[in-house]
Amino acid sequence: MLILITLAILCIALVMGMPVPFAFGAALIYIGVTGDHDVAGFMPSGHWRMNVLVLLAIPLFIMAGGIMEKGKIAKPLIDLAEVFVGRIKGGLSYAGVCASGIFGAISGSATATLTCIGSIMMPQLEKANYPRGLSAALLTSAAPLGLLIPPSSIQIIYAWVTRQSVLKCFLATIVPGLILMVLLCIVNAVLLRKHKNIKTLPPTNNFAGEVAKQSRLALPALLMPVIILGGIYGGIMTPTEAAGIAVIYAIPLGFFVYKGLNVKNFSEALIQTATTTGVVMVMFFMVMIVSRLLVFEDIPGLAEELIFSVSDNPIVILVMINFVMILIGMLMDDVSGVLLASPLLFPIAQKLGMDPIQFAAVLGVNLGMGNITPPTAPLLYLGARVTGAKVSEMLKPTLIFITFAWLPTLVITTYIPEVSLFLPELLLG
Amino acid sequence: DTTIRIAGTHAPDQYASQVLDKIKDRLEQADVGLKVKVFPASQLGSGEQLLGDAIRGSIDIVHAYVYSHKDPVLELSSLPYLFTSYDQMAKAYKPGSVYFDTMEHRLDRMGLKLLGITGEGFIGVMASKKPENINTTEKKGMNIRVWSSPAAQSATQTMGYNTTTIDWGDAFAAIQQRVVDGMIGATPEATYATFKEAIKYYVPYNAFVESTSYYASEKSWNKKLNQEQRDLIKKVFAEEAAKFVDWSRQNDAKYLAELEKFGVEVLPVAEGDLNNIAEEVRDTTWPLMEERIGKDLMAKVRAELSQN
Amino acid sequence: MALTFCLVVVMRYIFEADLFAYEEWILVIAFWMYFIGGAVGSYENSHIKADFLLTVLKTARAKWVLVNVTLTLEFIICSILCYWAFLMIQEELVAYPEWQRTSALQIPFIVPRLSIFIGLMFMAFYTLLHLYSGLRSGPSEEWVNEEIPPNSN
Ligand code: NA
Ligand code: NA
Repeated sequence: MLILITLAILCIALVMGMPVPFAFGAALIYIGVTGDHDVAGFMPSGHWRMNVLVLLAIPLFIMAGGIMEKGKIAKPLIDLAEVFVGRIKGGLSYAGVCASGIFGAISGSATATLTCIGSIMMPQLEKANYPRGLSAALLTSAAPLGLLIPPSSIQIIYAWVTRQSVLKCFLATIVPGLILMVLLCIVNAVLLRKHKNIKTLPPTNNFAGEVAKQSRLALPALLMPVIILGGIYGGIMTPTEAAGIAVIYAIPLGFFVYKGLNVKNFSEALIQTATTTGVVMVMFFMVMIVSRLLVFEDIPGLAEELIFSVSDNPIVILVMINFVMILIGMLMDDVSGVLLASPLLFPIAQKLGMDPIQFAAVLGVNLGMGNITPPTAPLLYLGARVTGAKVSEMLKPTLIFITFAWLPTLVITTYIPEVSLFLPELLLG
Repeated sequence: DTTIRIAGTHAPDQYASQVLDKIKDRLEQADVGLKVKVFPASQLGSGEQLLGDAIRGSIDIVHAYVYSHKDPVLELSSLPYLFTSYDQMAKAYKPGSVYFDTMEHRLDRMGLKLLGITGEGFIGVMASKKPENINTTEKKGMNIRVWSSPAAQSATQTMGYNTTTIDWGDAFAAIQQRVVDGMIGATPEATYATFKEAIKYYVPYNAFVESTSYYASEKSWNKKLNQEQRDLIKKVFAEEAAKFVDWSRQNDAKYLAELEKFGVEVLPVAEGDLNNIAEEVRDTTWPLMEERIGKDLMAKVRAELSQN
Repeated sequence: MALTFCLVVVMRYIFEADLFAYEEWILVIAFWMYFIGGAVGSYENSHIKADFLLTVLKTARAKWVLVNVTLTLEFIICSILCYWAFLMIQEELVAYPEWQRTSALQIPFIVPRLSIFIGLMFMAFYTLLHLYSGLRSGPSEEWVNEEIPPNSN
């Protein structure tokens, strides 16, 4: 009952157009007033959950994205990508999906992926006449690749809770991530069919020359992912530190190399990114407080009842497990979700004989999807913010991506163990 | 029935979580009108957060590390080389010892009731390359991860390592990617469970203890529970806590063997050398903590433990 | 902030030193940034919204009613949250002299937590400001241009 009313309050408040953090505030007030809670503990619990260094990667990547955008650093990169895929219809949007996957290998977070790729790709996509809602929905749907392609923050938590090998969990989600990338591109191609006026580059007869020219222009900017990826995988720095380095590297690049920055728009960029950071983090703050209260209100117990009340057929129970995870994903952020779902559903999955490493992948796909599934869809709202699209115009294409790209990936991952187990077994035995 | 909420920070299949489940059964089956809800795996937050929630009465009983953010004296539990053997551990954690009484008193001042101290093993150093001269405190030429505590940093440096402060959550990646050459901060079991793929060596320095506590909210204690229930809770938790030292003695040994089996070389330090290292660490690190814990108290606890 | 992380890396490799417990003060700065940023978000009316209803409504009058009802609720919610944040600050203050402090640098928790209270206070204030200007100007053309965020039309 409490869950239903909480959901209803969230939906109504969001539909009315209340800002997301205050819609969660409304839910919080409802739970706080009806339940047996000390309201003085709510705000401190938000502080505890947000008081982690890893979360700082988010503002830093927002800042790096802002500076790359204002400093005209992103443009030569995308121009270069366009030389390769710009002649295919929809090529630029495929580049966006691939970029999310590659950036996912840089960061452990879907949020960082979305802020960086979203803010860089969106202006280019709009210039080439791509429909705004669809493009924003695509970039948002691709952002959880940051969680599926290692490193991944939720896999670290899952491995910790269930005592599995972190490395194996990392490897388990790679193939599902690749499947998702392909499906997203296919669905996108279908959706783009009816849009006739998308610009593509004119045919060229000097392909090599163009590649050489654009590469030269893009070289200093290309060093940026090299520094970040090389820094992390070469073992020089953590992802959060890499985000800091990215900002510091981008500033002189924007001022002196690509000359997009001047004192005025630099300070504008700083103020703007600080506001975006604030808006995003205050939302996270409220979501985290509510997520924790829902755990308090014994959602775990309800879930277990729900799963076993339907049937004892293993295939049906697997469906129910996924259903519960989707519900959790709809209600919560991914960190709270993994903290809740792993101790709750892991034993049930194990009883059915599912490999814990496969379950890691199933959980990863589910929670990634939950991040873009309303009403609690931090990535969807963040996507609207960084791309400048309306949530309402993103909603339909997002639901299409969920139904035709995410859900099939989930089904494949759930019912074909090899998909997630192949890589870990190949590499770690 | 009275429903009590017990929150823990251990993974569901860890021994500590199994004990909580057992406690739940014992409390519910005793027929004194208790219903128990267990929230394992930091579902309700970190140990620091749980401390505040217990004081507030939102959570009734907690099993977690007792953080010192509300009372610096509680840092007593993270003093390096407070003791080096399981026998001394048993002595320290037994109700009535100076150590136990101090913890009990400090928790009581905050509105918490200490129900038992649970030792979960000694902490050593793991590394991806072989540390040289482990039997002395000479420089190792290695940089290892340490958790964010001045005592841990100073102790580890005295042991001859360069240190980098890295969060537990980032530690695996940091070792895996060679940001650091290893880390201090895990028992053999935690090393086996989380880090075995990233490392080649483990040195059981016994420098720190993985020690957590059972404590109850005094607010709930006084308001929610009747005398019969209080007596039962006190008894059950004390009994289960008392079993931890023997368990950790066996568990440390078991996982050192498992690490060897997996291919991680365990490099033991001879007892005499270990005592010398411990002496040096106490000399450098303890003075740093005097201001916060109190020199007299530290000396008193140590004196009791080093008696035979 | 970015500079700090650079410094951490530089220190580690060039000076082989550890910028100890920097996370404790950097997180304090971060919290102030989060909540001041959130307050500016309220001032600019740029908080993340999912305003389906607004796009369905056609007349300026209907939009005006919806937005101002929402703003009123928002102000009430914000005020309650603000009061709860006040309770947290009060709890911190009352503990004096035994303030909650961070483990290494001994920074009192009240320093970052105050940002939550002040940020929410400003959010409530700016919400009230938007509501006031909405009620004063009525469902006019000018109001639509000013108060309906550009990305919800
Ligand atoms: Na990733
Ligand atoms: Na969701």
